[in-house]
Amino acid sequence: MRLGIDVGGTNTDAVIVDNRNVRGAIKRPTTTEPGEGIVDAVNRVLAKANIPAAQIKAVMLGTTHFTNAFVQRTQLNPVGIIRLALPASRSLTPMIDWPEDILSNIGGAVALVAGGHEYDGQPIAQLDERAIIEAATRFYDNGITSIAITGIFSPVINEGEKRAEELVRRVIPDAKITLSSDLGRIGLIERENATIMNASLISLAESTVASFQAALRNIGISAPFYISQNDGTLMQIDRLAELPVLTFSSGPTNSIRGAAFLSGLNNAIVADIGGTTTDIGMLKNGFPRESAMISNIGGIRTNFRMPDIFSIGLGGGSLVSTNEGLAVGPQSVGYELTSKALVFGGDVLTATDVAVAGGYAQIGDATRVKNLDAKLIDAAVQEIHRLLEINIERMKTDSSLMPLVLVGGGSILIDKPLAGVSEVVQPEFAGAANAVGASIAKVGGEVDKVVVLPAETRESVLEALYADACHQVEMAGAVNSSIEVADVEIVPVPYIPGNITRVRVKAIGDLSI
Amino acid sequence: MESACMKNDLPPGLVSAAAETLAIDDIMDIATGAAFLGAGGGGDPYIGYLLSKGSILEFGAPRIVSPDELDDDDTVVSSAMIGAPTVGTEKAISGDDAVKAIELVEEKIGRKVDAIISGEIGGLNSLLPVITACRMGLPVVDGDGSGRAVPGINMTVWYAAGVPVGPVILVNEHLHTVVIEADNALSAEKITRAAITGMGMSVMSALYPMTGKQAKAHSVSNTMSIARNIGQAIRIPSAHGPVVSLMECLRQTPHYSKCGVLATGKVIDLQRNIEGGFIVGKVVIEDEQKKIATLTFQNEFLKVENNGHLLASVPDIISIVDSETAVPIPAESLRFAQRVIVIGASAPAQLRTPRALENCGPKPFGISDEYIEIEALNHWE
Repeated sequence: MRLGIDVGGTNTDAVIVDNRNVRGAIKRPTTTEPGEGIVDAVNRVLAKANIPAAQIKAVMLGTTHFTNAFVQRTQLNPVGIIRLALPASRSLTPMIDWPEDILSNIGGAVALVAGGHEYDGQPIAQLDERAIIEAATRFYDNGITSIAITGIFSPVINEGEKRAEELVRRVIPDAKITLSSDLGRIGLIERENATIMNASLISLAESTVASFQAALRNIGISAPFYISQNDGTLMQIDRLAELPVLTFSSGPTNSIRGAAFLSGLNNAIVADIGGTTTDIGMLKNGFPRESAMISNIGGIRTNFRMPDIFSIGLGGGSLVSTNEGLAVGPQSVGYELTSKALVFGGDVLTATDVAVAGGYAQIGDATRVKNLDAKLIDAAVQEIHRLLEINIERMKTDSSLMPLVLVGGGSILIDKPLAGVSEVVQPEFAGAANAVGASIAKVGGEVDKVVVLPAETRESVLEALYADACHQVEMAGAVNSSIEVADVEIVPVPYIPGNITRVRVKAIGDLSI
Repeated sequence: MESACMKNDLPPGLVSAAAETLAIDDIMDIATGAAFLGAGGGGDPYIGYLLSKGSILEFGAPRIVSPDELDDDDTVVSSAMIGAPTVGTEKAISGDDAVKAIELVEEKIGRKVDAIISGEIGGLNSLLPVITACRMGLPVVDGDGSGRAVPGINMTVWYAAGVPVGPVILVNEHLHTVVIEADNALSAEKITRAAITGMGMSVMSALYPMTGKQAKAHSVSNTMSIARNIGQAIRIPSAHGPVVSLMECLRQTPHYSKCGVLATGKVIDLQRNIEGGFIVGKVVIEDEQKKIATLTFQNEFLKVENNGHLLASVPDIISIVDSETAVPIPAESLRFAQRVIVIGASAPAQLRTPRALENCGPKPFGISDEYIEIEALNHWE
């Protein structure tokens, strides 16, 4: 039995999942101290499903807590930044493109020192240990104990970062240190940005982890506790205290994964129809398709893996207007739907009213919309379906028919067959898709390296990288027989002779529960 | 703010602005415009933007001069990064390397350099001259040697006009140096590729030292300003949307005025391989009527075909932009299902001469098609 929790900005959801069945779901308001909302929601869901806490074998939690804190610039640590690079990159200043307001929060204590590596793992220069100790001393004297260390090409070889960590710890024994190699991916600026962001969230991460853990203790759950990451896989809760940025944007990922689980589909279109917007994503082999766009969080460029989501202004509260021809959305009554819509006694014609008047949705008081012009209702129903249709079409890669999974409260708007869609699936518990998505997440591992791939040894080099990624998954607690390579990206590096290629391997596996 | 492209009175130019120095706000726009003129290649100009921003903050902005302002006996030299763009995303230049390359040219030719010019306005090298110029207190010429991105130092308009490429100076971050003297640019190109492998795959270079007279006569003029204007057209919201603004902007330039949308749709197939150190591949785009456009690339986009019918080929500029934002997408960042627009634009006249086409036309890229101008292929005015 698994417990899935989603701590959002507004609501905390809890679900209990037993193999392929959702045994219960609860939605409660999120609290300032997130643990309180968790205790509330989990106690209620356990009671509702009539399941003792001792039967919970694993807890998976997804949260937007850290994204929100960073975007709102709340509770951030000042950070000491060390880059192992010189003489290279002297002219590329860390954080040069960050917004002013965040710089004033986390400061600009920077040290560029000799070190780092070439693409093939050779050192650029000998690590300047003295400069690192001097920098650490300077940071400490200024009250800075949260340190971000980034070495050039550290995803290829991270021994420089490891050594720098040791040296900093000599000066600041209780330093909180983030190494860029733990955040993966080639691209110095984006990786360094993520490392600094992570270091700025360290104190919040520690107190949040403590709050989460205390909540579970209060409830009497002692099962292993996992947190969902932005790529749809899990990390252990202790790692959240070290790498909070890995939770950035895990919400949409969980929603798509939850939709997959609830519908039993691995390849589908997922539309999450809320009160104001519809988020459309693609489920590919059980995981969301990733976005190719550079992700920008709180005004800062990063290389986080984000699901490819297309949002349109269509939801249950969308305004239906006839001023300049018929239009549905993008304006919406939003959270005021239950007071402003006609079926709820209000005086605004919304998409929800159209669905009720169309005779296919049962919500509110249908008698309040029975006198509406049938032609207008018919046209508005068509328009709602057309909007979803054309935007689904935008997301598809080929013209073959695909199933559509509808989640979210606004899914009552859809009733008719849609072009390009083989079937429309509206699973039970769709409102808690986020928490369900968290509960079923797998554990993952990733390798991102620049390697030589000559034709003769290509297969053996790739096999070694696959093995590396699978080993990481095993270490993360996966059942050996379930581990598989989920995604491989092979991108040749241009202008370099000798088949130099960048290879990224992602492996996943099921948790042993 | 109104885009300078929208004004018809003057040829748009940074030099005609009140301040003759480069503003930081302009750099981001130049980077976006350079990504468009990069035609899918040329490396990520974002790094160039960060480097120039840092240099301007540290040393002060360089003056931008029109080629016409150069004296005939001035000495102008091109400053460029040569290497693998992927390496460039990790290992940025030190800055001292860029300066040393210029100083060594001065030593070699026995003259002081008066201005820095970009070898290619496409991609990363659009902004690297700014960094060098900031550090040396020199002006940057509003123009370049290619009018786009090109994958070899022998593919410039200067070479086509008979300007010698060398001496070519390569300097890495350790200030280790290679000086190349060769009697033709293709040999210099081959030696450069061999040398950078041993220098860490990313070096700063100084090349094409020339007189002010040569720079004036042969460079593609005003391309820094044009790149800035393209970037503005994409960034600043307008009534007709960014794609229309971009086209209007191109139409008002002397070089890229023959332009149009060649295909619209989404990426349904994508292949990338390595051949001879380049990323080679093709991308297939399908529109709503199921019409297929196929682009082939070797770092930069080489040609576009519509059901086997040629729509454009090098050296004309072929770029892929996001269908909503008109932000250019490099070939190495393309993904399945991306919704894109393919835009084609005429290459500057200097790249269309028989001598230039020998180096940067379809033939040297192994495309059998004879070069036909994009406006003729598409029956544009």
